[in-house]
Amino acid sequence: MSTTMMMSAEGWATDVTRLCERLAERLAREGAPFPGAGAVALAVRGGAGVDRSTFAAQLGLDPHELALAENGALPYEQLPEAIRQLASSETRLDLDRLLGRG
Amino acid sequence: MNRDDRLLLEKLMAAMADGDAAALFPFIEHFGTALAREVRRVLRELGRTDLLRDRDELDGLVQDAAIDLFRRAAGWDRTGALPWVWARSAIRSVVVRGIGHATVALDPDRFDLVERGPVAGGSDTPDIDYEALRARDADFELFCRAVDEVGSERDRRVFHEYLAQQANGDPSPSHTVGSQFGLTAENVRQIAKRMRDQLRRLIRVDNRYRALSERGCLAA
Repeated sequence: MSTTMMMSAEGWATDVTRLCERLAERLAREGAPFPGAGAVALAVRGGAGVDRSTFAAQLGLDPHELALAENGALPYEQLPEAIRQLASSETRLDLDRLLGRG
Repeated sequence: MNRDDRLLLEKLMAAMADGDAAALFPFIEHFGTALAREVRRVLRELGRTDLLRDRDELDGLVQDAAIDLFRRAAGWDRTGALPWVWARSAIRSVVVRGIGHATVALDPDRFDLVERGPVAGGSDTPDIDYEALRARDADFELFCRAVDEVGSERDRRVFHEYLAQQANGDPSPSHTVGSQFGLTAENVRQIAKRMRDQLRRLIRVDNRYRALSERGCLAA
């Protein structure tokens, strides 16, 4: 599986922020208190292209904590530092829009 | 499709079948082009060739199709057809929902067209007397009341103008409206998308607007 968010030669450049918004809506419907943060956490792992346990191991995270983050149970400020760093460096993620800071 | 792509496809479909929404990101990145091909085919069938050149609209439909596949992933048989072929009819439904039914939200024949001269920085097409239209058309009045409940005043004006341009057959309404409001086309598309999403949410929770659920651009 890919380990980068860059497109392959024949890849499709999608609006990552919009996809996050859609996933956040889904998390919100499921009752997540912080759907935007959850969607950001999903996007970061999606960009890495690995499953949750692999990603947690790569970043030295507790898989349970990562699951909480991805389920929208944690506010953005409480996401693991590594997740926030990756999110901040992903230019296709409009964090202000996703986290309602705009 | 080469062997590596095939293995990746099966891996991502399996992840989605397990409910892993993160897999949607690489799935669209790697297989969005194939999904887009399917979406374009449906758009041609529906006669909406105007949308074939609208990259933002197309991407939105590709995401819709991918999310639909995500929901259905558990039913996919990896020994059978490719997912977007297997789910062809479902993708068609997604596209129809996404672009609205054959009719559009606003019928230009029902507009009062009032010559107001050129719009500053924009086109010189006739403007629409929305107040007169609201007073005369109950459906439009209901639609406008729903619009009034969501978004900022600017977003509402942008959204109305965007729909009007679409209804008038403008092949690139986001550019036209962007020039009228001093926004980029991307901004306009985002505003229109946001307004549609907010309206759909409003319609779901507020019975007063239930009748709008079948309306062109908002049809669920």
